[in-house]
Amino acid sequence: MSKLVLTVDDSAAIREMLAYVLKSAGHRVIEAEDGMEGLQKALANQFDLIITDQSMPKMDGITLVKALRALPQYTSVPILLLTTESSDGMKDEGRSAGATGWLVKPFDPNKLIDVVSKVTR
Amino acid sequence: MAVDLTRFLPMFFEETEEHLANMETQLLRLDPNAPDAEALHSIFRAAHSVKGNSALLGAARFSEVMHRIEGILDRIRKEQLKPETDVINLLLEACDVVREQGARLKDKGECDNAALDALYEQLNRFGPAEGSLHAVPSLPPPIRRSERFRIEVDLPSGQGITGLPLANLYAELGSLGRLEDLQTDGVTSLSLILLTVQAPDSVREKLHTLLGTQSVRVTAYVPPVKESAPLAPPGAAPASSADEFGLFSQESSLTQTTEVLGERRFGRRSADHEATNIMGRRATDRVQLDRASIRVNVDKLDRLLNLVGELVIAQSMLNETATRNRAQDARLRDSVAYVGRQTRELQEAVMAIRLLPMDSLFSRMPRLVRDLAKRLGKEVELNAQGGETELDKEMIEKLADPIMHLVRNSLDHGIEAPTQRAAAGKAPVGKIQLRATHQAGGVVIEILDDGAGFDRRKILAKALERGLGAHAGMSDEEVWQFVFAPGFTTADEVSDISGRGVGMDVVKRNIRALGGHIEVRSRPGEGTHIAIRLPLTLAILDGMSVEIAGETFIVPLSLIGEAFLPQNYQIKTITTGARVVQVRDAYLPLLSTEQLLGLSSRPASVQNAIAIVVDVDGRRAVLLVDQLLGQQQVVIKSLESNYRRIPGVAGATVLGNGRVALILDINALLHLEAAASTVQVAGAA
Amino acid sequence: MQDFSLKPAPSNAQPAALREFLTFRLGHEDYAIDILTVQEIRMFESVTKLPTTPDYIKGVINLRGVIAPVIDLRVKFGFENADYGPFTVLVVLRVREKLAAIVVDAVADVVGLTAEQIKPAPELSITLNIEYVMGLGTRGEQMLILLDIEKLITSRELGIFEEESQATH
Repeated sequence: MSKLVLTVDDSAAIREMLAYVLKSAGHRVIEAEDGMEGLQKALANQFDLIITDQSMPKMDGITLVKALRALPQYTSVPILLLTTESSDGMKDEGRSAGATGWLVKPFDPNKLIDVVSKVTR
Repeated sequence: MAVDLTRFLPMFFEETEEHLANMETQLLRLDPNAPDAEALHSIFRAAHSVKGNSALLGAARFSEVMHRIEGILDRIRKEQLKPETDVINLLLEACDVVREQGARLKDKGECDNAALDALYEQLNRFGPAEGSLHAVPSLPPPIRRSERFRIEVDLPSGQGITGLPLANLYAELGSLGRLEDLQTDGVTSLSLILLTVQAPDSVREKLHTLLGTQSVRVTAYVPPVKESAPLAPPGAAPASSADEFGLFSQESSLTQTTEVLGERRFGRRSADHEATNIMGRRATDRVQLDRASIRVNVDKLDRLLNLVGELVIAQSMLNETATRNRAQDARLRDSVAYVGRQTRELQEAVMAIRLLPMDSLFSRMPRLVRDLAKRLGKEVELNAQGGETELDKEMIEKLADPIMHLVRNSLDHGIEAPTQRAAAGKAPVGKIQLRATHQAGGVVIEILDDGAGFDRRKILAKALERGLGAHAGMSDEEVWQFVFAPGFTTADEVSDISGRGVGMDVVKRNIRALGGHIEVRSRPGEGTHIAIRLPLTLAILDGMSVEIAGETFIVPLSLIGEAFLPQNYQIKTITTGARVVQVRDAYLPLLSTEQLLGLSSRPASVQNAIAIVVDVDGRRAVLLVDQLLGQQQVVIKSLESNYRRIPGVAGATVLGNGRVALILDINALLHLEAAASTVQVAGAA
Repeated sequence: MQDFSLKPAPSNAQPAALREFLTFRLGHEDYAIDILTVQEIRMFESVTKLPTTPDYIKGVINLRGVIAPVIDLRVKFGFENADYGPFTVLVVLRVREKLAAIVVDAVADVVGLTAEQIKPAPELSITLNIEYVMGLGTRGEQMLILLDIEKLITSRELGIFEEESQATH
């Protein structure tokens, strides 16, 4: 089923790649350039899934996850963190902030589609 | 079906370039005694992004180098290391190596691993040693350092977090600085950390205006002794993850999610929905306002510009047809005129898109100056003003080389060594200033230095030696012009810094090609002032359409002095067969366009012709045309893109009737005329 | 499931059974050029003359905002008749990212030729310089001279693609 996905990443290249992969799986995508914009877009729409990078200007991914989880409409919407490594430190932070899962960059497009369908079921 | 993602690779390369450039700029600005937190963050983020991109580009070694850099930056952030000159130099060098290898990777598909390994070692071996205090100041540091504040907001009772204008709050805070941490229980209070250059009072005021009666507390943030950093600890190699993805808790929370979600959605949605909508809409408005820029592929932009150019021509054709039917519909003519105005506005707006701030050029200078000054053993302070002045993108690209050459010259020949300066009673640190301003419908770029100035004696001697027509009575301005002669150099040996002195004539030619002029003022012992004057854009020209031998040509309006009806007695033939025209008390060469452009073999007859005086940098001549057709703004089209350069022709344009008209290169015609006649007339006949 | 890849997909090269050509008349002969080089065909319209160019470069025209040269091959190869009549037409070619238009006496058709229909050209039978001829095509009774138009247009002889030398004559 087609989901509405928010992608947040300061790299235009990553955003394009994500959009390309998600759209070819039939999902709809809205993009944001940093945590702040992501938050504003999240307030303006109701997303089925949010995929966010960690390191961004204005507001990073972990802070975004925390801000989202504080909102009633996003307490349980799946949020995935895109990271450059899957260190334990990152995992702990992500978990305590309330993220649903993580995906390491560079991501395997097929794995992404898999994870997306799994968490949005 | 195999889908090709390689289309994204160029974007990654481009982004990596940008990140490296950004790192460089920020590194140069860093104050070793009080490194700005926001700047460090920015550099770190850039390194982090390059690290991530490298993995995608299949360049694992880049990734490792970046990781080392992250480690060093982390140390600086934690105040375990002072970012003094040697640290900065190493980091700058690292950027260079990565950039170089990145280019190789892009072009050849492979990079020099040995170079990267060597760099890695250097970064590794870098201990927390004291750097020297011999810092070369470059751009002035930001006015106020960024600081962290803790912001606490009491949530309105009963409504909790939903009672707060969240979108506006986040937007406002976002415009002030960077949010670092957010904690809330959703019911009683919200707390965040804001990293900003704004003063606490100003932050407090803004929040009070925004949140009304909610109590808001803004206090200085004291970091806890043990900071849990979201940064990977230095020394650890990036975790090679067997797990590329994962979920934090697999089982129950997911199923719970859907149920709970459903309930929440139906239950609370109605109240929240409204709130979100009202604020949501405002939030999106805010987004448009805050979004400062958008990336556009250059090809798309060019296509847009071409289409608009075509629209202008189409409107022109429409206008001509409407004018021909003047007896008929007045409303038609009015509509066409209206479309004309809209089209011209559209064209201006679209041309404005091509404008980039001069900063994109100026930003390369600090690095250049720093490296070169170091190499030459000179001390220089670089100052740039007017970086926000805008100029056509293509012009900026073409100005890069000339301006860098001029700055190099200033450093090499202008600014003296510290001892020499001291002996001359000057401050040991020399000053170079770059300035860009809008003047009289164009842009002026200036390069000033307080160095030794031009050496009149040397230049005059060289000019005499080369038989360039110099003599002792010439004014300074006239003498300085000689440096623009091809191959001119007063250097006793050729230094590889500014080249063989062929640079200046190329600089002048490049500036000319952009439709501009270059002026030099210099005072020996005091300094040099170079001014480059340019039109705003390459693509549009104010021209005068003229008819010569039945064909329409365009003459650049800025080069036209006056026009008059010549009398027979004013035209004289001199011994070589060339002709001159008497204009008041001067005799100006007559440009025989027919012969120069090969239009027809008979020389232009004076009867019924109109004489136009053209002036190129003080060199004047007369052009005879059959008719003056009118003044108009023309869109310059390239002849070279599908054919090639023709001497005497600067380009082409499409007229209202759809036909092509050639734009005359007056400067080239002057040269051709001079070459054709062997004797130059310098005075009265 | 789709297969994504960051490596370029392998190209599927298939042997072409039939090649398509645009045929036209120049002087007394019929020529054919690879259809892929042809961008469009236009009526002959008045051309803006260019100064100091060889006589076979008639001038330039405006192709939807782009300025392109017009080449008269009849003049270049010395055909006697280089008139402009009602059937004179401009064939706009796109060769290596540049546009150029050639003047032809009439455009005939787009035809497909199989490998069997193409034979090598004997040395002395035609007026055109042999190096630009790829072969001869037969369509029933008609003989078509297959021109390597890309080679011709980019040749030094024609002088359109030179970087910065003076106009040759």
